[in-house]
Amino acid sequence: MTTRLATCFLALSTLVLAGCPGPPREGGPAIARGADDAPPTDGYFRWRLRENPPDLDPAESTDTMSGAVTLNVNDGLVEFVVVDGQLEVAPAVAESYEISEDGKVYDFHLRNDVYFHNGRRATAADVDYSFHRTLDPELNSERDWVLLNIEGARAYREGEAERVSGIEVLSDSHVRLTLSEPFAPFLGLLCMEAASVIPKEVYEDPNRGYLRHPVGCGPFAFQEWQQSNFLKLKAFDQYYQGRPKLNGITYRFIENLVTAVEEYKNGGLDFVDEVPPGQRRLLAEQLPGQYHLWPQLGVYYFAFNHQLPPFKDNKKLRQAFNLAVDRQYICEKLQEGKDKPAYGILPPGLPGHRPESEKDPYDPEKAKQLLAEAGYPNGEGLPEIVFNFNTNEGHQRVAQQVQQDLAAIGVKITLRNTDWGTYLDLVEGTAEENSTTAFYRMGWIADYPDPDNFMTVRLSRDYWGPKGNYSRFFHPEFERLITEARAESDQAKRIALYRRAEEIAVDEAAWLFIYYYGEEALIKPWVKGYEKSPQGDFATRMVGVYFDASAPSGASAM
Amino acid sequence: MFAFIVRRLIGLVVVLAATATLLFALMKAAPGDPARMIAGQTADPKVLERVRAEWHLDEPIPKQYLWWMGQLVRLELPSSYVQNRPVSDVLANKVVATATLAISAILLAFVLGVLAGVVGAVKQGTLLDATVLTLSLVWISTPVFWLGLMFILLFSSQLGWLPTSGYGDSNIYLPGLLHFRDASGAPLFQPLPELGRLVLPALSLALLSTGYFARMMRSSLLEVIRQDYIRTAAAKGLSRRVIVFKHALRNSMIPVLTIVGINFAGLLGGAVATEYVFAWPGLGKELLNAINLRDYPVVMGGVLSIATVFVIVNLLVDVSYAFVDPRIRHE
Repeated sequence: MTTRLATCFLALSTLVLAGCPGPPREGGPAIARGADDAPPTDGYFRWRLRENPPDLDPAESTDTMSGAVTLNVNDGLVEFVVVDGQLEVAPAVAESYEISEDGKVYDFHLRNDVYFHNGRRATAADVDYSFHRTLDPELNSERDWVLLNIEGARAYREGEAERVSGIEVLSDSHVRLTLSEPFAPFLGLLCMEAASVIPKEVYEDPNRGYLRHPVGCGPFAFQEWQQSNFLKLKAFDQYYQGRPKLNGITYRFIENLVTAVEEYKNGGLDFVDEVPPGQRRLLAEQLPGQYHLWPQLGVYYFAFNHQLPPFKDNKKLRQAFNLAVDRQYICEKLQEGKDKPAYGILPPGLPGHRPESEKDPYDPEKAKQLLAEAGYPNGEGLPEIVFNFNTNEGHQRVAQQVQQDLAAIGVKITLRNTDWGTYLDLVEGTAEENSTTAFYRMGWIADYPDPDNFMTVRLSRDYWGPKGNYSRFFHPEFERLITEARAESDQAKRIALYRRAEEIAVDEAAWLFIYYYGEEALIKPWVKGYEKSPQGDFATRMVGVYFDASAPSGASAM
Repeated sequence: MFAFIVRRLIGLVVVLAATATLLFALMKAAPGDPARMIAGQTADPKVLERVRAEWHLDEPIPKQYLWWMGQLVRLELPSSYVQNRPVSDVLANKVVATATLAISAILLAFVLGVLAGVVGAVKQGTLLDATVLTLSLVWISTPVFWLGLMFILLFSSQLGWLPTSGYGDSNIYLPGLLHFRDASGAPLFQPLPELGRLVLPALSLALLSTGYFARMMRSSLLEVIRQDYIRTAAAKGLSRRVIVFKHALRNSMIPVLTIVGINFAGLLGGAVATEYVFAWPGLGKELLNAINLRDYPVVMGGVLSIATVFVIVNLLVDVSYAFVDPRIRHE
């Protein structure tokens, strides 16, 4: 038996060792480890992502993991750059653009040195093709709304027209987009992945290999993807803004955060996009200058269902909830300073943000008084309220704190958690029919830096149900103000309208506001040129990032 | 023997049909709408309708059931809702990682467990025996999840002997697997893992089973050692080594082999946690994600594959009895 066992073992090890080498490949060692905490030898930036990007098609990418890859592979007519911590629209494939006086006609003049990763030059016809593709009824893209403001886009999307009438190719380097009505945030929308320029011949290849091996005209070209293991991009030599300084990017998929942080400490990663809750201060101490924190354009809130009791038509009850919660404690103690208290909708850094909305209105005495005025003195007569959240340690900690704060004024809350799939079902309802969930957690991060993206999507009457306004908030004056703002082309006037709308929503206590998101990351000291994007780290432009091996370990990276 | 194997394989079909039916019932009973999961946090109702139609989610349940079963009989699962490619691609892509992990772990557990069990039995009543018993109890009671993290902290972070996590990029493929390609021309199956990266996950996954095997081996061997034929062998003047390894070990193997088969299933379950801790690109993690995202084609394909492996492994165990004990014939 022993000899047979040994033979068996030998056979297995031969099997393991004697495989065939795979295809030869470029780019040095595969997952280069930094020798004793130094930059990787192959010049590839090692970036931790939670898991595989679900979709590498820019027209279908709706999550941060897909965005982290597609935003580096693809470019559109314009792009966001970070200037003093704020997002600004800058020319990309288009070297310049003009907007007509009435705010409806956009003329884009394209560069003549833009190449796809397959070597072909990109022209106006490619813009035309790419935009039609995103709107194609066959593709059924969830991001079609990025381009729906273009005249005729809706008809084309519904299969009622052959072409989008508002997209015109005037020459090889001139595209004109006509909107159905003026829409000020339109340029910001064009910075999103869904407005990327991609080559028709690659996408329409009958093998449909595009989804596994996308081709764009961005700074990095797709190199290799081993599912759930790693995905690699390599620097594109012919990139029109100059070859990136990095040789490439290796995204490593590590779901468990504790493992990711150990991997980072042991020199296997240059960048970790989040840290385990409860370890922020510890890590900042252990790794001086490597823990980075910056404001993100997002808001975290507990939503009331405005069409269900007890919140329906009971402004004072909603206000009492808002005054009862100690946000300062949540942000400082539970979130360890990562997030900022919110008493409003529009986060800091977003046009229209009101600094007074960063104050914590915590006042349990006044909350009690309002609760009594709402008809429930000391909570008497108030039915037990169930608070729903999707299963997550962080959400749970905040929910427990809010539960305690509300108990202090006499309101009894039961917590109920479910996984995300069940959760969405539970809270959103449909456009016509309300859900049965009265109180639940939600969050929103800007797709483009404009108040419209918060106010319209989350609070307007048109967006009741799955489109975004799950809480079924409706207020006539609020509605009038945001409708007016959408069409206003004078930026200062628009912002003033949104401010007034936000004041109404806060006074109405549309949500139980909790905090404005902060974004965090661990970044090795030798990483230079990293611009922290207010949209989140997935949206960082990697073209200017480089390694400086001389940077002393432990010093600040930026 | 041949008839036995054929009977068991027919049984496999029944097991798979029952599993698929049960899975379908669970899918329908579970809350959460796949269409909603595909569409993201905000979605146009029109988009939702189109998605539901595309995946037959808007039909009556009996009709959906028949549709699923039809697809299964034709071995044509629908594409993954989330990943937009055939389920066979999705699963094939994870097989090598899970197989190398599970097989290394079970072999490791078998070798370590049998050795420890033999030592415990031969040195019955000594300190060594007590150590084997205690350690095996400790391994059985230690959660894989925690053990994995401790291994990382000790062997990687503190001692720096082994890589922290991941699968590496060995670029070495099992012979023949490179012929299989997906639509983009990339290899369908994974390469083999880097050996150094396999050590910690395989060890942490193995230890639970090691404890079971050691205890089973020990008690089984103790029983055999008291048999008359062992006493005869000793009386003939055979050395202790020959008695244990040639006469006793083989005869005490059957109960151990049985729990190897059963443990292999538990090991596939434990692999989910191991894969999570070590960022191992395997089936367990894929399946868990698919369940969370309501990606039913992947769930169906994954669970049926595991059921198949389970039945086949237990069949192999049954067949192996005949080799260990020639008196057993599966007639």
